[in-house]
Amino acid sequence: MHVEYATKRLLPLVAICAVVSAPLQAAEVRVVATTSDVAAVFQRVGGERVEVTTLAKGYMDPHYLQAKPSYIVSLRRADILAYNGLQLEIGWLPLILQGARNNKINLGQPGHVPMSVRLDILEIPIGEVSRAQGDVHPEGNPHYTLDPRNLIEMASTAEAALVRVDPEGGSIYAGNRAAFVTQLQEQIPIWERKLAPYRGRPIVCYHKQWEYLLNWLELVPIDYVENRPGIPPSPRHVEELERRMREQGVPILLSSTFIDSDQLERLSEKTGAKLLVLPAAVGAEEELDEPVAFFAHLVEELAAAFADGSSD
Amino acid sequence: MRWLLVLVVFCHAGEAWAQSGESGATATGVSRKFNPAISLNGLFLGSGFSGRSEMQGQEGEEGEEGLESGMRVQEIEFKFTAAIDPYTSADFVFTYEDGEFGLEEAYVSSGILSHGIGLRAGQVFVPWGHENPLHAHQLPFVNRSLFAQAVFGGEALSEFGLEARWVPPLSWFFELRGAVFNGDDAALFSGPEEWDLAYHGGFDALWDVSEGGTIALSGAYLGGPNASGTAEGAKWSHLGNGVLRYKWVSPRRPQSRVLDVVAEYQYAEREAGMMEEQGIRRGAYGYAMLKFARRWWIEGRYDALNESGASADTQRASFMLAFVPSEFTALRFQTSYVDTPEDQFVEYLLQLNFIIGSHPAHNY
Repeated sequence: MHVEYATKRLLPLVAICAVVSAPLQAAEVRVVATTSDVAAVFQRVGGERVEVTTLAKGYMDPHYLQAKPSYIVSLRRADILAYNGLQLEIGWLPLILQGARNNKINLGQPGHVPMSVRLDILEIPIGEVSRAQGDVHPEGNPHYTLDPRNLIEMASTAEAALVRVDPEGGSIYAGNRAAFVTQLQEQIPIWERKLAPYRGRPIVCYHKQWEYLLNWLELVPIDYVENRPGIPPSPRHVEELERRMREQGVPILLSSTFIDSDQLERLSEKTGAKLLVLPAAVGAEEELDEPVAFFAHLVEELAAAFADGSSD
Repeated sequence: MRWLLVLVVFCHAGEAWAQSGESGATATGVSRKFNPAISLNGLFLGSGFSGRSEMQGQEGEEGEEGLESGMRVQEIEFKFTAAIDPYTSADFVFTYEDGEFGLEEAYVSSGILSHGIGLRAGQVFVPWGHENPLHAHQLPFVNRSLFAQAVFGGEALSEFGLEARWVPPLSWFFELRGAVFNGDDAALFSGPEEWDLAYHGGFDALWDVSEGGTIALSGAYLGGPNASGTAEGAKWSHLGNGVLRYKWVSPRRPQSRVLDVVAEYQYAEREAGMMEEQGIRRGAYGYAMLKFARRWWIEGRYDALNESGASADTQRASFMLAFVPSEFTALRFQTSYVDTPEDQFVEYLLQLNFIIGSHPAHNY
């Protein structure tokens, strides 16, 4: 009688537990990536053997993500935490990593994967670093995923991490990485040729986030609207910038989709520079959900903006 | 003063390491790379009142922050955080307040326990309610709720003990916690027996209701023998609370579009001895915060306190305007209409909140 009673009441409970814990039995390797760029690299290398969860979607500003406790749920189940690093996620990742209490992804463990390790980092501050300079990143500019050549190295980092936690998938990961790298190596020269006519052209950017892209394409950022990172610009700086842009005939004012563009539209009108608002990460727009499509879009948009500027 | 000595030693050690050159190594091979992350939070406060009776104006009750007009250092907080070894990390929080140094928190946390279990041991802000775990610079308003002012003296309740937390493997966030504390707070605990402790249990649950929106529900209990008991018959203090919160952060504009709505109910009962009156206090508050531009937010709060034996409830309505030039500075102006059984007055508070040193992660 008691057994029957208990069974009747426990079965629904067991069923509910099975439903809520269903995601726990999905892929071979569960990867949590802090940004959509990192996620995209792991998805390409891991293929169907991995389940990738992205915290900062492509249309979100990864500097300012909120440390939602629900992210802890994702990290709690993760085999790998892959992050951009260089203090991009410093305002939120430490809290959720601590809250997850998942030793597989703690610092020093095989599942703890900073993606910047093999890369040449730009703008590492020399000498004293102070907050008087704004919200500077003392380890260098963290927006390295905007150079497609860096994705080649990131793919190697991803493959090494996946092999560490899932050695059986090694040959699959090697094959996926090779295919991804080949595709990038084929496309990069095409993209470079497309923008070659505009090498050395000046550009003004809103935030210091396009350096890797501009460095790759040999375009020259002459100044920034946000002259101190993370700090809204003063009217005096904007006025001075407006004068310089007119004097130098800057053709493009470059910003990203997560920046308010009201002020930039006014600056564009006053200077004649074309306001180009680009997605700053894979997945910022629905059709740009993988790296090759994303970089192709950036190149097309830049080329069109320069062509517009030349014809004016 | 001994905390001052500790701080001087910390700072001197840091300076000595810093002078050891860019390599970070000293002659003894000690690297400053292993220094704790150090931050300092400063709170400067200006306060004024209107409509308050003379008697009330001269002397505020202990813990009623801001009742003295004028300008002062509200609090300076020093925080040190570092991993001790692969298994544990440590956090120390010292404060300078009202001319004295003190220890707010000093605890060691486990980092290696699996299955979502975490342990913490040491002096901690008791994780009871929405406000109590927050340090002064993290509070949504300049002062704590009326209930916290009446029951905890306007400061967070800090106790020494051992705490365990568990996040079960569910598809939404749910955390259970339990703790045993020394029960040193003289007003609430300090039972007559040497091993009279205070016991805590609580939960936090959070659901994503949209990409930017979450609903959180939490509840907590804290109780233990108080000083009114005897060896023959213990008398307990019981504290309970429930919090409901809705928060929305624009996924595309997190810097300039945030809405945070919180409601909390608080209850405290102090069982009394033969010659004393049993004390019951009930508090409730609700507030809403709206960040409407990159550098600006507004907040409103209604706050009430019911105390057994009082002729009427104490109520307070507050409004705040905050200007936030950067992530590291905030200037907050708060005005409140306060209605107590004895008096009614308007309070004006202007607070400068700043941080130097290590970049902290921000609580949700």
